[in-house]
Amino acid sequence: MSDSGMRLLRKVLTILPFVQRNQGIRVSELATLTGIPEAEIVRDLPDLVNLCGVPPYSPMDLVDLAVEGDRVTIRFADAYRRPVRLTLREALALEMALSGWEKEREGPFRNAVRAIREKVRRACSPEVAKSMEQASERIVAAPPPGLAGRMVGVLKDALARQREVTLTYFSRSQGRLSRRVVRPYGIYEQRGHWYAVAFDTEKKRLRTFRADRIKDAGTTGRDYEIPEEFDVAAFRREEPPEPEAGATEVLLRFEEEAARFAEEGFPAQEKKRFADGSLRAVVRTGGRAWIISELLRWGARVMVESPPDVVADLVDRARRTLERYGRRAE
Amino acid sequence: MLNLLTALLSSRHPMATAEILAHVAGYSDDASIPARQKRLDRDKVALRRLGVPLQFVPEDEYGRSGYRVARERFFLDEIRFSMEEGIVLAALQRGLGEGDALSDDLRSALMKIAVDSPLSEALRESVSEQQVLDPRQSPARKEEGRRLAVMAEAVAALRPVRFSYYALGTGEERIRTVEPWGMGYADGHWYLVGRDVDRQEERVFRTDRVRGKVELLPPGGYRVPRTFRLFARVGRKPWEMKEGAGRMVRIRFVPEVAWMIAENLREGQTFAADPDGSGVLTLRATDPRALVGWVAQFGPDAEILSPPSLRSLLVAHLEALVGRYGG
Repeated sequence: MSDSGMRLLRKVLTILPFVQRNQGIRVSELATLTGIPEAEIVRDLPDLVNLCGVPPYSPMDLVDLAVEGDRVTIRFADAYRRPVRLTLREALALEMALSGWEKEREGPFRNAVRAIREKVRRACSPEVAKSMEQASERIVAAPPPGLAGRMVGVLKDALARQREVTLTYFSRSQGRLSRRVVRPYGIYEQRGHWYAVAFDTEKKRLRTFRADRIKDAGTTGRDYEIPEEFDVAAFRREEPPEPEAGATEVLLRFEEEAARFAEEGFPAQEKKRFADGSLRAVVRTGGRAWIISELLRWGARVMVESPPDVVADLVDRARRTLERYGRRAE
Repeated sequence: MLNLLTALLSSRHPMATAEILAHVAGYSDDASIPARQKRLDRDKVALRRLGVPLQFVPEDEYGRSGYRVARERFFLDEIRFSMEEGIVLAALQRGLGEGDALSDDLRSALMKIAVDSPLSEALRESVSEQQVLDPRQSPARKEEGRRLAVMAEAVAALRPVRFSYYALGTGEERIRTVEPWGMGYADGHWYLVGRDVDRQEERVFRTDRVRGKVELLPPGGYRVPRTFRLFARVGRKPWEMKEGAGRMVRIRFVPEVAWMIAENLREGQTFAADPDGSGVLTLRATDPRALVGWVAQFGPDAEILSPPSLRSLLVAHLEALVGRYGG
């Protein structure tokens, strides 16, 4: 049997018991849960399962899965009242997803994660349970360290309860701490940093806050609601934390070894490798402090081709840093 | 095949081959007996691959022989989750990617374990479900999800793997054979740690630098060294990557940023605060050049105090930068 056929059969074995427990489930919801497109559920799923059953195959011996309107129901699937045990790969995928959650030092979901793991292991075959246990020691996701880990916990808690929080936050562009009253809408991780997307009640707009720059957090005791149309995945795509959105267009050129590293790791909107091995990148950003600090890190390994005012700011900040080391600007 | 499984699950006795060929839809057609027998053999293999505990019973208490499925080993035991646990599962569900093998595995695992709990409502209503995203579940690319699934299996089952790897430092792509010891996620990437069989050395591989498929090799009978500690290997900063004892480095930070350094210390780092809010970070670096880049990005907000050689390196780094613009 082909791989795709096997995958489909595996999905069917999961769907049959699930629909029995959730009679009348919406097609759209089943599509989200199974990863099978809605059109295929409506068109192919009944054909696939409805000819199945037990000898002598009278109508009541045959599975009867029906899609009426946008609802799915099932009858005569007694052989499949329970889902099949987890395969090793499913168990490991779960283990990988849960690892990291448990390690959060003060995360509110830490105990929940532990309980899930325990329950799942008890319900698995002994071999799979043993592999899960071994894997939990050898497949691990690092927790965000220190303060960032604590703040991610605070933010998740605020989000779960929809309770407004006050943040003492370090803004890199202003170079100082300020106090914000915010309503967290979402939390995500990117390139090793955790961020909260939150509505800033003073600025009246959504902003992104990096967890390890939150010095302190408290609650105002006020509740809020998250607009239904908000989607954290879409927000992350459209307004990534780095580079901060903005209109300044910075043209960069990297050469040789630096070009290789920049190709993989420099957060630019556009990158192009040339035949001579060099790489040109375009960064559009409003985060002046961010781009200057990034350029200081790369040093002479990158050439800023334009604009001149970014070059001037960069050279100025490099000179002021050199002064700390007793170097006078020429 | 689903008919075969349904018949076996519903039958109270072991089903003989002849009985299956005579009665079960999909095998009871007009084709020749050897052809139908071949079909049955093929499906038996497929069912076993799917994890179905298909057994041949030579003789039961009534003297009947044939195939049966051990129901108690086939179905998942009942699991009930609390609301809070449901929220965590819902958050995992939300973070799923599309169409990669790892997400597919996780998706079906979640559906199976959630079947006994009234989670659908929680799924629909909980907020955190909607809004906590963790890219660990949604690899950037389809192939990476498949690679991670294979590597996790290799780590769990102690099986060697072979893959083509792009080494960023040299820019070269080579075939590597590795005995995996562990896998870890840190700073936005998954890493595989193990013994590189050809180089006979411990190595760390960033999984998104693997090109093409990961081949799972037969068990090689290797062991994970007792002294192995995953996080001594994964999650290292660029200045900790080289081997050797390295040097202790002291860096002063101005008050505006010092608190952030103090609050986010890593293992082995210390911080001494001064009354004015500034402070000195002490850390060990095995790759001084990489550390210079990290310190430089703070501009005048950070100053390397010692050793002098590292101060000189930082000065050279910045003077070269200024020099590029004719300063």
